[in-house]
Amino acid sequence: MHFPTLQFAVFFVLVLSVSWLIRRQRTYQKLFLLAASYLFYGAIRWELVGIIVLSSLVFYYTTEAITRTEDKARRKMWLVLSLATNLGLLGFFKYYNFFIESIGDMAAMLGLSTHLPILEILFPVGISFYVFQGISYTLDLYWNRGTKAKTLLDFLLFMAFFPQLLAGPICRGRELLPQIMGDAPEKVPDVSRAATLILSGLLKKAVLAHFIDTHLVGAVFDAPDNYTAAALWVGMLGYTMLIYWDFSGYTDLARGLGLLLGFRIPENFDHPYIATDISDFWRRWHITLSNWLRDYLFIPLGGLHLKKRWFAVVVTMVLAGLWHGANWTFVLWGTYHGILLFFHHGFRSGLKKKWKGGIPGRIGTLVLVMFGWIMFNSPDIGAFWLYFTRMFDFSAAGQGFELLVLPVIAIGLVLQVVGPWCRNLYENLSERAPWALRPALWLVTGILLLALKPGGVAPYIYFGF
Amino acid sequence: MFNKIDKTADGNPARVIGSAWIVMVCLVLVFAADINSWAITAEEDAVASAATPAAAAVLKVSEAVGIANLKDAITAGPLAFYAGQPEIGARNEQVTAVTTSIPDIAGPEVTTTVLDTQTAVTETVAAAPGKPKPTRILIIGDSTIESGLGTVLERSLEEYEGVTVHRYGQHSTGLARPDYFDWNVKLAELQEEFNPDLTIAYFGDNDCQGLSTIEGAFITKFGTEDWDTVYGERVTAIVEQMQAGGGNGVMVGMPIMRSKSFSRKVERLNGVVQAATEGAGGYFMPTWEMTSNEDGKYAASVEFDGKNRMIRAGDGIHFSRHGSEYVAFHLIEMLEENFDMEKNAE
Repeated sequence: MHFPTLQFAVFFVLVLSVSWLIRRQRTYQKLFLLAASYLFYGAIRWELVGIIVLSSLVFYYTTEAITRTEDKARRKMWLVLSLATNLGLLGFFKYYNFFIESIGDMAAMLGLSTHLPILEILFPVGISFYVFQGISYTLDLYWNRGTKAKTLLDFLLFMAFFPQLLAGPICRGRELLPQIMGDAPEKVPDVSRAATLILSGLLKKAVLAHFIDTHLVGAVFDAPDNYTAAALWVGMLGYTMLIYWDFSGYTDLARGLGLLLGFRIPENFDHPYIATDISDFWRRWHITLSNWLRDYLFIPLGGLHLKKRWFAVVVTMVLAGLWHGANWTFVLWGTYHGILLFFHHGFRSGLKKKWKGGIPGRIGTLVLVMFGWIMFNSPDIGAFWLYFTRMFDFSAAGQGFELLVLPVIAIGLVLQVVGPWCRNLYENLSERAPWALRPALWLVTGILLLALKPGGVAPYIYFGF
Repeated sequence: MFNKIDKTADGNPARVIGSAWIVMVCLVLVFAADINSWAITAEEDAVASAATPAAAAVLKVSEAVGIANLKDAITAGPLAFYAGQPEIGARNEQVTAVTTSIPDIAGPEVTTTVLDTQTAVTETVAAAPGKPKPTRILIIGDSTIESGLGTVLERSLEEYEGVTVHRYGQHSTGLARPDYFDWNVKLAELQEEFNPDLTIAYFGDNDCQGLSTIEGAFITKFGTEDWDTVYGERVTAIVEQMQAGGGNGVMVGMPIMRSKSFSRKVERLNGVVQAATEGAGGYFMPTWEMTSNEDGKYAASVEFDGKNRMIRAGDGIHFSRHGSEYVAFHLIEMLEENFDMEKNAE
């Protein structure tokens, strides 16, 4: 059940109605939302529910054990058990075949033959997100600084809340648990903002991302040797916008749907393509993951100490790359950003004197980020190198690209600057309209988006992570 | 971390729920035709079967209100605008006319003018006995051809001497629903543009469902003799279209599926496709056995190129990257058996 489908719309309206009708019976409301979340997840494959339940139970009970003892050794033992089990689940479901195939490739390079078993493993969509969410809960309480769930029900709902289950944002305990544990709000918080977020998400995901994917990006990355250098440069620009629209569109939908249900989900993007430097980019892109990596990897690895910073930043970003997927291209992408961050951290004081960001900084950062996206979207290292080298082969023959993709990409870049103003404008319009007219306003906007939408429903990129 | 909410929330739940229902009902009425179509053609889907009477009723209401065609009306313009976009940034290879004699197995040598990148030459090529020699190969089909197998097949065939390849794939299509996408019309356009002498087609992922006419009227459910007859006629028609003008047509069979119920449907569909293709004088190239294990069951991985490789995607339907390479390799072996094809010297 994907978000921008009629099937999901029917499901959500039913959940919305029942949830608000029983809001004064808070425990029943939470049980209902938990059941709805498991139904939503189980509609993909019913086995996935078993995995998230197992993961949630391990996190909850090990964390309970941690908080009930002062003995350092026992606390550490429970922590290790929690992390080992859940990272083990993540590692097995996501990386087993990748490592087996990689070992096979390396053995073949050395002239050895291997017959390690490849398993057909079901991939639990969203596992990277909810395992990280659970790790933050456990580690925060281990370090005596987090918010503890009052009941198992509260924690299960924290882990499985369906608007943010499949692709984040990765919520901290202190962000979502107080809302779950507290009384239900009497009114729906900020309906106009919720409607605006949902429509913004549909515009980004169902119209813009789907258009650029089906009219350019899918084809050029699939067979770069069929395209000219011009098409590949535009393809790189296209993917830059595609991944932003796809992921931030999902976040907008998640936040809007969460608001309608009475929950505030954190922001995950802050116009990343106007970042002044690479560190600024990572403060604006996938904010919840960046903060997670900073708090649970970078700082514990010694990132705040000058001498260990290079090690901490590179290791953190390599693991960040691997988090995105079981492929060496993601590792390469993470390493690339780690090196960029390392140089930026190392030379920042000198750079600041000569270069305070501004337009050159923003353009330079965007160019660096765009080259990284080629690695990110290539199926393997060879395909990345083919794409990258062919971008500079201006005499190569090949197909071009549709003229319309250029203004679509331009609109996307302009919206990086004026997007907040446009969103506030629509939100104020919605807020000022009489209540009787608001459904009409939202419906007309939705139908206009429908008119612009290319056919079909494209899958979310981040569902693969 | 949270955006500041500076407006006083006035979200009376009754109003919000009411608004949501109004929007949803309107969307259901706008999409009524699609919902009705899904309900009557989706096979072995308990929800679809149960929803069929309701879907028909919703469609009647939508028609009575006058918005049954609204979706098609508002999307027609933008879709036509998207489809009519000019291409820029292309770069063609320098071409020179070449006159080459390509013998036809059914008759005397035929002199055909083709365009290629070499300087002008005239040569007579002796025919390999009994085997057609393709030079312009068109690959068509659904999402499997749009990327994955289609890409690998295209790249592999381009390594053959004198062969030019063009590929067109469209996801979510097949021969069952010409009202959604008409492959006969599309094939005619592609033939006009590219003039292939060999067409390789891959359909079936989206065809194990009820059939409809080009106007969208329902014909018959999957699994009936009527379905076999009508679908067989469609396969015959498209193979004959591929063969028009002296060309050859290849229909690639569907692989075994992880889902046993889907596998049974695919096996039935393969039977219909094979009979119709060979009856029309085309070539049927199966992928069922190569994707099964020794016990004849679904194989997720195989030993290929000296390594154990996962050949199917997580959905148990599409091929993985290695799977596309594996299947393309075997398909090309079959093409080499039936056609006069030689790889370019390295």
